[in-house]
Amino acid sequence: MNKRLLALTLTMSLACAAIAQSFEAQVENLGKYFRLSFTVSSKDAEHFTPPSLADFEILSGPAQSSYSSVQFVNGKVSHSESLSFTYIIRPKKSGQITIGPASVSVNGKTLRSNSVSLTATAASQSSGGRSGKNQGGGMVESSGVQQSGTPVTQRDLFIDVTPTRTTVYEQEAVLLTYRIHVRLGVGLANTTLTRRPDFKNLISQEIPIPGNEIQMSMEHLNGATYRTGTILQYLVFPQKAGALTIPGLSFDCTVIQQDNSLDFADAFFNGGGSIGVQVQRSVKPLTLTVKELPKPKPTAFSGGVGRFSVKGELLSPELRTNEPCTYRITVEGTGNMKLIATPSVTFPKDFDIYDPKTEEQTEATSEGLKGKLTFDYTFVPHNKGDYEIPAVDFIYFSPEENRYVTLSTKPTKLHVLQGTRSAEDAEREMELRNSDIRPIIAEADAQSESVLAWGSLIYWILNLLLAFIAFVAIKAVRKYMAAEADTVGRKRSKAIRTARKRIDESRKQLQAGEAVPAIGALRQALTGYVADTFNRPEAELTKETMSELLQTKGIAQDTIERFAKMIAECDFARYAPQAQAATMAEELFAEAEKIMNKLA
Amino acid sequence: MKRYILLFSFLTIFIAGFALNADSLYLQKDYIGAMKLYEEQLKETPSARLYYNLGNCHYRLNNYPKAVLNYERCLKLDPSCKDAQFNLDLIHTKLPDRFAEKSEMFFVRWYQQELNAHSATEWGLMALPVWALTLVLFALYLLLRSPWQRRLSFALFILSLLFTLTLHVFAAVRNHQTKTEIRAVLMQSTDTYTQPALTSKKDRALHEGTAFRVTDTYGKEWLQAELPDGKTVWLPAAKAEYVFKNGNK
Repeated sequence: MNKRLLALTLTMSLACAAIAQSFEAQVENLGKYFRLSFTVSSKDAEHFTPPSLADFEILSGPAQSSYSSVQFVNGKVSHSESLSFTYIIRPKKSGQITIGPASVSVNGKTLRSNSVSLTATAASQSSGGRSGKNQGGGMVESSGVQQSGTPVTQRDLFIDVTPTRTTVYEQEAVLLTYRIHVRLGVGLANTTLTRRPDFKNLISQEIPIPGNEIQMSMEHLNGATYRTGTILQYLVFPQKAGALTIPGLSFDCTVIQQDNSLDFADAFFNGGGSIGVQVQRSVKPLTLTVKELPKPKPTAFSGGVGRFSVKGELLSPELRTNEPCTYRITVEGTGNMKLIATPSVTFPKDFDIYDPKTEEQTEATSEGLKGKLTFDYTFVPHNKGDYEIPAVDFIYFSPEENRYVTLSTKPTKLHVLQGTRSAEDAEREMELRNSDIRPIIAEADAQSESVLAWGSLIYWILNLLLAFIAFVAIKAVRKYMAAEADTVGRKRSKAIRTARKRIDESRKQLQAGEAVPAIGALRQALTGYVADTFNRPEAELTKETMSELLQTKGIAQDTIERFAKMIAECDFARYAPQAQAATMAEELFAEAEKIMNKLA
Repeated sequence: MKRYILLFSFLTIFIAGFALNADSLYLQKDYIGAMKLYEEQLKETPSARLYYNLGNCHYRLNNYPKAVLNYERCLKLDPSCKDAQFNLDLIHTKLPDRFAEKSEMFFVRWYQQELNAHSATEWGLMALPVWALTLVLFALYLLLRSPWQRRLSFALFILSLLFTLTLHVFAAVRNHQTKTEIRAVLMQSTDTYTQPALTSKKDRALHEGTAFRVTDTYGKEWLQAELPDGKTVWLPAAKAEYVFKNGNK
């Protein structure tokens, strides 16, 4: 396998070597220029040396391009390749010119091309001759586009600038018009500024082309026909006196050329065979002579240069105390509107004055910025009465008349009526005026219309719910209270029985020989009776309080006294010696029985 | 299942992103773009918030009458929107028309001012705790034993009940006002007339941006406006735009 491959390769290279290398020169007439190309039939060419082209202006080149193809035809392999060096040249003189041979080296061997000759005539078509391949007459497109590779010269495409005036005063407007001139046969596609211009000592305003479409018109210049159009306009206002240079602007232009050397398929995929060539054009710088404004400049000079009119008016017809009002000065005219200073207005002393606001409405014209400028002065009078805004002077310079012009507004009478607002109201209003609106509400922050909107079903349901809760609560409390009273009631009815039971039990204690505890228990039984009956805690009950309580029940006075005496004796008996206690106990118990009967 | 969740969340984000867009356009100062989006969204689902935001757009574009119109619409849907009220007050200072205060008895004016200080919903929300208090006082009256305690709680209960009813009345009046009031905003400056005819005597001139209550109409061409100072005038209907026709949403 390897041996066969090696053999094949060797054969092929030998075959290549065996093919005679050719090196040809040919020239093509393109009308004004010629295309000179040298083609060698091998891609491995080196040391290309062109002939002398002294009689020509080399517009472009050498451009190198290569070509190769392998074909199998009828079982035979045919392989071809080539390398071309192309120049675009323009004859410097007319008549017959011969171009000598070029040389190139292939595989160490030096090859020489043939010489070619051509006839150059001033502005004419002449056929270039060559032994062998003949390209025939040149082609000049009267309309359409150039061939690709054709250079675009100054004569084909140039841009100029025209100022409306070259001698102006400081601040006087100058309109710069930039026009492009395209010779017929050159396809201009697009023009843009290379970079933003830096107009030193000038205030400039660009005037854009309406609709971004350059309007082209035909004109004849120097024997050729051109399409001309305005691409840009700048309104400039010189800020300094003396010689002012307007820098030359640079533009990038795109020229469309046709590449006919591409075959149909390539052209199809390459945009119809047209290619855009980037060309740069510069405009020559311009000098303006700027005159200084005459001295002495009036102190109240507004800075305006041009032609203006001024008027002053009160925006609010009725003036009341503590209500903000606005006085508006309008300056109308043509000139350097944007550079006019705010006129100063003297207001009456006890008025609150706020910073004036300026608004302009202007459009650029060839004479300058035309339109109007409004200055709004807001003030707040505090006291009623008659006041006056004095006449306001507006001084501008008129280049036409060559002098400073003073205009004045009419003095304005102010009749301030008593208003109903207070100074705080006025302050609040001014605060509002100088505030900004509240920000937008983001979706997240949006408060949906309250679910508890008054009148909504949910709202009434909520109210009823509250009432229902109250109703239930009252019932519950009532029940609790009733139960409580019940317990109390029951305790009360049981009071006698409980007391009797306790007394019996304490008697048992006595029988058991414990006199003192028995007496203690007896006392407790009696106290307990009162506690239960009157629903009081036992701790609270002293002899006196018990007597009071028993009184309220309507117990007979002597019973109460006996009861109280009993309690006292029980207390006394508690500290008595055992023997005495025992005897006392008997008496006490008997007495207790009697009292109980009386109480029941 | 996961696939659906992914798709759903993607869609939501996409839609949310689209809805969010109007807000972000506004924040990027593309007021015209934001305005267009808000208008589209309003066609689908009108809401107080969208009207408010649209109002802001118009303000930024210096279109005061439209701004006023949209703030009024916002307030119609959500009377408690304080931002819209503030912005309206702010725009008012920039409009040329000024109106004297309504000449009414001072207590009438005081009543109106108090009433208008809060929306119906706000009055309603205030009424809830007062109602709760009323119920508590009633309970105390029923449950307390001591006579003087009972007398006191009954008196307070009556007072509280009256207070609750007052708040409800305020809410009802306010509700009725905002629901039935038909308002309009002047889109152009106009003369006003005493009668709905161009030949009738002229009243004061009004400027764009002034909002008023519509009290009557005459055919399709005239409407009667009640101005903020209480006076009524007739003006050509073509010069004004309704906040909401028919007084309803």
